Amino acid sequence: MKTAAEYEESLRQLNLNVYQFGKKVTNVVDDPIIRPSMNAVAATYECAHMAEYEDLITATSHITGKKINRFTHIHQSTEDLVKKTKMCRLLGSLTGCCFQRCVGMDAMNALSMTTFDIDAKYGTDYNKRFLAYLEFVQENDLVCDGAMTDPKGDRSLPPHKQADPDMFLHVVEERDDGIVVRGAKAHQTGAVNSHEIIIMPTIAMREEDKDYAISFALPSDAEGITYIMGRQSCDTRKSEEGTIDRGNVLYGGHEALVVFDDVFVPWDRIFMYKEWDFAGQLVEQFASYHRQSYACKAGVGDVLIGATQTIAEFNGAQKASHVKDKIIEMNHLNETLFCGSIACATEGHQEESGTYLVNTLLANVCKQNVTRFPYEIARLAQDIAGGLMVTLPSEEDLRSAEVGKWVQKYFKGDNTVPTEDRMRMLRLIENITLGTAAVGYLTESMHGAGSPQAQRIMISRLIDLKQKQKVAKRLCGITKE
Amino acid sequence: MTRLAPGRAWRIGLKYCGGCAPRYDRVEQVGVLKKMLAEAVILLSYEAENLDAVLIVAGCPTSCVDTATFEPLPILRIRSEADARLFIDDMRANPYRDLTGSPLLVAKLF
Repeated sequence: MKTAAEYEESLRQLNLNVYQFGKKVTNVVDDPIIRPSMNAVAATYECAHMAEYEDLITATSHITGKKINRFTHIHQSTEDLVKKTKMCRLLGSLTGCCFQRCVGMDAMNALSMTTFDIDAKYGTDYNKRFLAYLEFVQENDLVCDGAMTDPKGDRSLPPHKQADPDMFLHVVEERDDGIVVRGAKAHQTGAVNSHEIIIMPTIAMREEDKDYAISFALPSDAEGITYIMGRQSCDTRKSEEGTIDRGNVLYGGHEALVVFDDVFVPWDRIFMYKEWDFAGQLVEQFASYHRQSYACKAGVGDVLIGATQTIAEFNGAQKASHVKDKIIEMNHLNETLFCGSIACATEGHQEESGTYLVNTLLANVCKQNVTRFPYEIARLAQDIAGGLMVTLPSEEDLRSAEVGKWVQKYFKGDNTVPTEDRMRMLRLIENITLGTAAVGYLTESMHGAGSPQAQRIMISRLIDLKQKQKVAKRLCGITKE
Repeated sequence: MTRLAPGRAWRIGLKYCGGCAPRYDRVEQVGVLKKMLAEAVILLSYEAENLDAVLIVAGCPTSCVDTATFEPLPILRIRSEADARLFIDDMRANPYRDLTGSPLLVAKLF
């Protein structure tokens, strides 16, 4: 397994084509806006080597028998699924942000099943290719960006009817040695911190869309791939002097639009090619795993609850009964998020390929809660923090020779707490609830791994409503069917 | 039976749970334990050789660590601050005891 330092060095060897604020980023690793997100991924390497965390962050490869980072592991039991949930919470609770590595793990686990099932139906050899790729990823302890979401254009139209055919990533040329693809993937979390990018179709497809039913993996710096960094609220604070106004001084996340401008993919890296009837399965299984992964939000919630209790103490308000009750409510909501993820893992099962899959109904229930509860937890945090969280002067004002003394004086709370500490804690709450980390804690909770309606559709498909009606009728004495 | 010869310290392998939502500071408690039992216990990696026992330090009562790989060594388990105090008190009171008689034993010798 790589160390955090080895991971960072491995990123320096990549030749990524990254754009931010209209300019090419020449040093991605050390860019002040991107670097905190690299730190968060590096934590997934660092913790694998720490005695107090390695039981969750490491696993035993079912291919080689070697100790590997769990982010490259294929789940072999429900215990593995439970440990994945716990790992996600742990890393959220250590970084206070998205650590970006779960999406590749979820993509690989989904592909371990779908490639097997395609082979069973069509006699192809995708699973063999995939397992060779998986071993490469495990041996080199790589970060993989699992890329599913296409720009999608007009949502009312399938891929083949879009005015611009590139709205869904598709094959444009077939060669003896591979294929050429064009299109883009949007909202790609951790894309420029990844060694590899794994492409999957974004929706279930029909035969007319078979050119879009493709899955493959490429090095992240393959020729023709361009990354355009997404903006985050308050992102340029990371370029300012000082650290207070950043909120989280260590970690962050990022997303990017990834453009594939006629990119070549060799056959040995292709895991689905025009088997349109398996696109829906791959999407559903990936989505179920990824909806489980949102246990990370319980981890970020741990940080926000800790920050809120602390600011209540810094404000001198911690003994107020309504503050205590709101802290309890925050914990209740946060642990409910954890419950959903643990439940879908515990109720997992083994698929034909041997891989364990979460209970898909419970995974969707888990994620549906995630689309709501972090917002309420954030609201309660802001309630307790007070309005100062959004009216606080800058760190430069605190350091100012002219007005710094007034910032120090008038923003004092508990007299035993330095004003700077109070400012730092308020900025952390601001960071998570409306700054750069709110991208991950709130809007990603809403739309990541599928928007709320996607889970509701799955829930309606997976419940047995007729059976519930049948029991209700029997209990009230209705005997007719 | 695992009994310590006089003048020798126990070689105990330390294995933490992963710490997803611990109810106490596991690392801090291990620090206290090392300090309080400096004469009687040498804490090593659970992968070290010639261990007398393995000590699992779990953050909550669930203790999701898989213990099967440590058998047939005696496996002791701490799941709370109270357990950590019990471990310290027991080892100080009975430094040469048979570890299979520890109140924190979770697996029997075969």
